[in-house]
Amino acid sequence: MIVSMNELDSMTRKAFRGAGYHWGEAEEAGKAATWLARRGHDVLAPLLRVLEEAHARLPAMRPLGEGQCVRSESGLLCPVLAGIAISDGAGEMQVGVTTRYDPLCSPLLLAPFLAAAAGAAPLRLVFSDTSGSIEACGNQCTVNLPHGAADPCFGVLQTFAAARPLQNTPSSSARVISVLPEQWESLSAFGARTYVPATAHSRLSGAGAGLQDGD
Amino acid sequence: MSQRREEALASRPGIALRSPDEVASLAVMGAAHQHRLSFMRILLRRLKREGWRFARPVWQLDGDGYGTAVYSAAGPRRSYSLVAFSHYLDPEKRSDRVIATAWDATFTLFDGVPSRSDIERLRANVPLQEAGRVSGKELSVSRTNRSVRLFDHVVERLSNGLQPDETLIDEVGYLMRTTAVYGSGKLGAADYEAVADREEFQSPFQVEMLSVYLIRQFSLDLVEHIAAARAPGQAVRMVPRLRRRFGVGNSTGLGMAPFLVNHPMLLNAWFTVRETALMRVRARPSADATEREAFTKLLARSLRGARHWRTQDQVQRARIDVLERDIERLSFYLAEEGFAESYPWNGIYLWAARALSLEARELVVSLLIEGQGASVDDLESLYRVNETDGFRIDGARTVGDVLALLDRNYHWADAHDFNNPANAARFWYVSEEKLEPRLGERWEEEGAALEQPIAIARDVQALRDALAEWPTAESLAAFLLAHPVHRHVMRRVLLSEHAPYAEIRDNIISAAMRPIDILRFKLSFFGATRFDPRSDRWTRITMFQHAPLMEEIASTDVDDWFLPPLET
Repeated sequence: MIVSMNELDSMTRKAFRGAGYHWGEAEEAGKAATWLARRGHDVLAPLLRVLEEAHARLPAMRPLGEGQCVRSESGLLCPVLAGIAISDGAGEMQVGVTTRYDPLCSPLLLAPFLAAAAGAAPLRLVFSDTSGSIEACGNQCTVNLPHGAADPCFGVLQTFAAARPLQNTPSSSARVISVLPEQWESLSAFGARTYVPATAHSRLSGAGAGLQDGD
Repeated sequence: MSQRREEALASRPGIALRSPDEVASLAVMGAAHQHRLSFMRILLRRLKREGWRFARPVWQLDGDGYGTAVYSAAGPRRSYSLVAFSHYLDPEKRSDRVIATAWDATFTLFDGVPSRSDIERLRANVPLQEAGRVSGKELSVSRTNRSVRLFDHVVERLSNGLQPDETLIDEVGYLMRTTAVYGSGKLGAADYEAVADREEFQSPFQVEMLSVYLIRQFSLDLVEHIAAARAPGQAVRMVPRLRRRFGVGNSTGLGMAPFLVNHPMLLNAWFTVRETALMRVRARPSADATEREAFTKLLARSLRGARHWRTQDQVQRARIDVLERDIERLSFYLAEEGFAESYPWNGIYLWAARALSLEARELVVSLLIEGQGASVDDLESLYRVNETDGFRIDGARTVGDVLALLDRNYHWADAHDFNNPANAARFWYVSEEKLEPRLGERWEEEGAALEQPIAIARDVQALRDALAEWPTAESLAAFLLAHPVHRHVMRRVLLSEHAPYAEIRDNIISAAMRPIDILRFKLSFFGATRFDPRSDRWTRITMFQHAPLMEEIASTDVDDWFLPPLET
């Protein structure tokens, strides 16, 4: 099925909230999803992988600590939360720093945050693990994760002085995405965890019904 | 807009932008009126300025008015087509609520000219509305119900060779009522971003406004078609004078209210446009005889508009009664005192702010702007905002920066005591049953744990309390890592630095809050008139009433329809 970017943004935001993230984090996930989808990345599968992990053990996937090592209680990091921390910290980044990361679930989701951080710093940022690498410079980003489905593995983030803009960066041209209905259903099921079931009281009063409205 | 120019205007004694504290409370927002920078007004000016051409290339309706129609609107660069499907609807199923599943007519605005196969595809989906899917070729999806009171009456009169009853037209004001107009990516339609670079969609909601404008034409053509089919040779068409008196009705419920909270940059832009327009008018040093006469005439038309404003809502009824008296008082004041020689418009505004009700004061704002198109119409360019600007939180900012911003832009939030249960009596949520926003009673209903994050005043207080525990020099990155729960509201506070009008400066979870105040503000910016609250949670309105019809646009003043004409 075809979904619009607004639908992807909105459903991702709801799904992350439904999986236990705070609203402000869920907003970042929605924007990250559309950032990737616009650039032609298949984003549903990595999103669902994170949501399933988070649903089971989100608090233990939060990034801990500062400095040269980012860990999590469970040993598996959420890429959205790790990305948020990188983006938030962009202003204080220095050239020539290497930071080691606990294994990231769906490292693709780190890309939008690296791009935002690289643009704001401004620096060239390279994240790499055994599945591949993500390189960001001047708001542009190249993703080379050929083994995206591989088991999560330790990663490393390196900072370099901003160089010339990256070549052959895919343009942000996609306006709708094609998704597998069952994937969209799974995402929507997480989103549905933010909805409140109806009661007799809410049916009557929730939207102000109860008046004859067909005249 | 040149910032220097606005600063120069604001530096005149007693003339400044009205502050967010003055205009962004629910009471003031709930008294807003259409103005010449409302979105319907902007659309019609463009259609005229650019010489848009209209046609009805498809009209395949049976004698009862059921079938398919297509209207086309061709501008200098692109064409758009309203594809309409008219259906039989069991009267038992006619409901304005968003949870309805069947309607009298359904529509989509197609990007370009639809092929036969496009129309077939749309016929299989558009009548289903939420249960169907459209594509990136479609820009909006909407539906209407007939007015039970007026539709049959008009058909019957026309088929008997008679014109409809004017009193009844004024009573209702429309033949069909939209119950939803979806744009920007809903149900698979194109995202706004996909058309955002088009000149014709630079101002907000132009896709939706164009859709509704064409629906109005469809509703008028439909009654004439059914009447002609019912009594060939005997039926007559409606006289043009009466056609204009039909707008499109609309029922709007709670769903619209969270929109303004969820789009702070849009809210800021909307307020900025209207308030800057008012300031520019107030800063005009004099008014010539023509302008004075035009304003006096507008006041007389306002009185007529107030007298034609129908509602059964007791609160709104009482306000309209006061409004009528207030308009008469202003007219009397101007007749007695005359227009001031120096800064006459400012004088009128200050007098109105001192002497009149909020309903009347805000009407005066619209009237002052109305006659000064040359001074204010360029402000529509300020509606254009990129909502993703400012999304990224700059974690290098400090706790002290945010505390200073809270003092500057969120002092209003501190006025609400959330230990008082009445001040947190409500919660906004999304209903599982129909995915529509609803309002719950926190102390009586389940579900508050799934509250939507729009209780800004309360959440800002919590943010301030948490920040107070941190050193002022500490970075936001560190603070947010420790307190991710505040991330949502932190983003808003940072956005407010350059967007002073970004918040509704009120408590929207209070027991005393009336959601229709939020709806009215939004609908007034659309260009709606005749607000008719049906409860504190939903309202009827009229759109495009008295506006020129598509065949009249080229030959008439498209800016003369905010108020009913005097002669009818």
